[in-house]
Amino acid sequence: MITLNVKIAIAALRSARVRTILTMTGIVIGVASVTLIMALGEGIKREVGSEIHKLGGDVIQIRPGATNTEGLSQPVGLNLLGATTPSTLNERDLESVEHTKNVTAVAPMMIVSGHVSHGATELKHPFIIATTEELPQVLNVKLTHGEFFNPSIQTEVAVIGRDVANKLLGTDNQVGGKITVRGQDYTVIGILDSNTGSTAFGGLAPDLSKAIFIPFEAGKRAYQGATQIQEIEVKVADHATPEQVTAAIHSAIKKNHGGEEDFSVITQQEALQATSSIVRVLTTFTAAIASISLLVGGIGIMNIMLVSVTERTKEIGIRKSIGATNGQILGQFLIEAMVISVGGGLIGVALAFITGSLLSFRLDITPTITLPSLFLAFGVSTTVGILFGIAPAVKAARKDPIEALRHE
Amino acid sequence: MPRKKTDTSTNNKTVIALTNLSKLYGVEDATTVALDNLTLKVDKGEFVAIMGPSGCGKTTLMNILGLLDAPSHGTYYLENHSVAELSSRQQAKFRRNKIGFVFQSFNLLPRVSVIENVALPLTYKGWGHTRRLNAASRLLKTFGLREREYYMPNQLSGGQMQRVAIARALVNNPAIILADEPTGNLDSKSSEIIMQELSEVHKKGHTIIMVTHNPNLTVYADRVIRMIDGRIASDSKHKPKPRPKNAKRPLGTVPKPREEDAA
Repeated sequence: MITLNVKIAIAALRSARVRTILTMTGIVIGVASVTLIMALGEGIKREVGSEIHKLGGDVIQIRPGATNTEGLSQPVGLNLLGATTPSTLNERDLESVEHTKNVTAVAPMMIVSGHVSHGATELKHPFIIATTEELPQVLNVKLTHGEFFNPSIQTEVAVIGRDVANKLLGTDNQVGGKITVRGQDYTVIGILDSNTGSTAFGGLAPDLSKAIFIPFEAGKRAYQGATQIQEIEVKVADHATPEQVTAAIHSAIKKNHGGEEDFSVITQQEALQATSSIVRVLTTFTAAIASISLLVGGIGIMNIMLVSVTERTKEIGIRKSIGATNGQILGQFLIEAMVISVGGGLIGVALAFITGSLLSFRLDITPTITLPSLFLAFGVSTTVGILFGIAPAVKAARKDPIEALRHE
Repeated sequence: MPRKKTDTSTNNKTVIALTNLSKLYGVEDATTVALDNLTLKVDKGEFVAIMGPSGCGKTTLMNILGLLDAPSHGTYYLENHSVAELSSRQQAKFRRNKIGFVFQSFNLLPRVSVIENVALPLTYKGWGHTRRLNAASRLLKTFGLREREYYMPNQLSGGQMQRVAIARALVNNPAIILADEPTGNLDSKSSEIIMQELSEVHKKGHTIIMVTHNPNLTVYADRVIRMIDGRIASDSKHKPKPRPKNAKRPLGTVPKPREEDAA
């Protein structure tokens, strides 16, 4: 009986094709936009989640320059100004951080400017960072070839990214080559694996494959002993919370600076959590707005069904006279409304899939349609169909057959 | 199923038994009496023609007989079932299984093919698609409409549409066929064909109750009831006369007004 009712409904909808398509469009747009927005939100959340995972939630960054708001740190990557102006962080701060409780590894980041070349080949826009041997541990960086510095090597050695190696040395799978940095020869002892570490790299490095790491001491020598620490990366012990360590570091450096808060201590987790909660709020908000279109679509269904019931009054009378029960008439019109809404829902989800995969080519994030969001979109559209279909269907079922038959 | 009730005054042959049936419209001093204390019995296999002027209650009677309307007073037994005791769902079931309607304006579903129209009552019975269409097709064949099965109603002539409607009324093999002015919208030639079809249906044993304005059509009936003001004015049984051959006056033309028609 239900399959039959569906067939009757589809036949009836087909006979008013344009009207059906227009009515369905409302639901299609509603479902598609809600699904897509939720998919985008989910995509961003996953991206953020994988960032947390890559960087480790246990990494703290110390940067020169005060934060604007207590607690909420500057978004990652906005500290470029701090990177080019004289830094307020010094070696004493570094030492204080190293001696803070529950700190397992510390890596200073000192940006070194200068030309990088190999023979006649010069690297454009080199990105040179002087750091310590603990950097791989802090930022989860791995090497494809060779090794990172160790405490015994503070001579002129370098670990370089794949792009740098390819451009200067013509190969990325061989160590021992020589490059010239600020007029000084460095021996390449390792090639970085660009698939590891943080791609954002605390906002300092554009890409691990374009980076050149040199020992901290070598970096200091390049500047005649002066230090310019643009960022300190801190790894927190497993058993400690980043918040405690952050507070300890904060007070230690503040003491060093004579009470001046000219630096920021940022936990990565905090930054990313803030980002992901903003994303969540935005997603919910936008989805709520988009779901208004579902409501509008539902009213559209109701409107059309009411028109349809009036228009088909005679048909209802005929059907009743040949033995349709009120329930069967109700079912017919309800199913008609549901065919519109479920059909619209299906098309909407399909549209969201297509738009989502098209968007993923242009955006860094991949819109992810999750099963719950599918159920939600589908559930909502079906509910809309039932809710807004029920009044017209009841109206149809209650029609007096004699009146209905007389209707022209 | 409703409890079977046996009225002492009816026998096994009785299909319809109306006792002191009244139908009132409106309230208080604005009340109109459509049917006034009407008592009527129709036996299985009868072909009853109901005649009478407009407003005499013919249509109200048909609606009540067809379970589309309920009487204000009195009882209606259809095949020994008290109709008043049926729920609206059961009434729908009765309409589906025991009653076939033939309307003046055919009342075919315009957007559904001929065969689907005929099969429609079986649809509500829950028959499967193939079984339904087979039954409809068999019936349409007997009406000579096999080639028109997949036509839409608007592609048919009036006479063909009415034949489709009769087929639809018969598809459930109902106890009674209620025909309300079945030839009212047809020309004389088509009217004759329709009346012959109904006559055939009658010969196969179906009970037919037909409302008509046209006295010429009563020759097909074996019982003629004349109604005035919601009452039965006359009720005469006669053996159907053979249609006079080469009748001069074509069917469907308005005859000389009789007493009651002049009202």
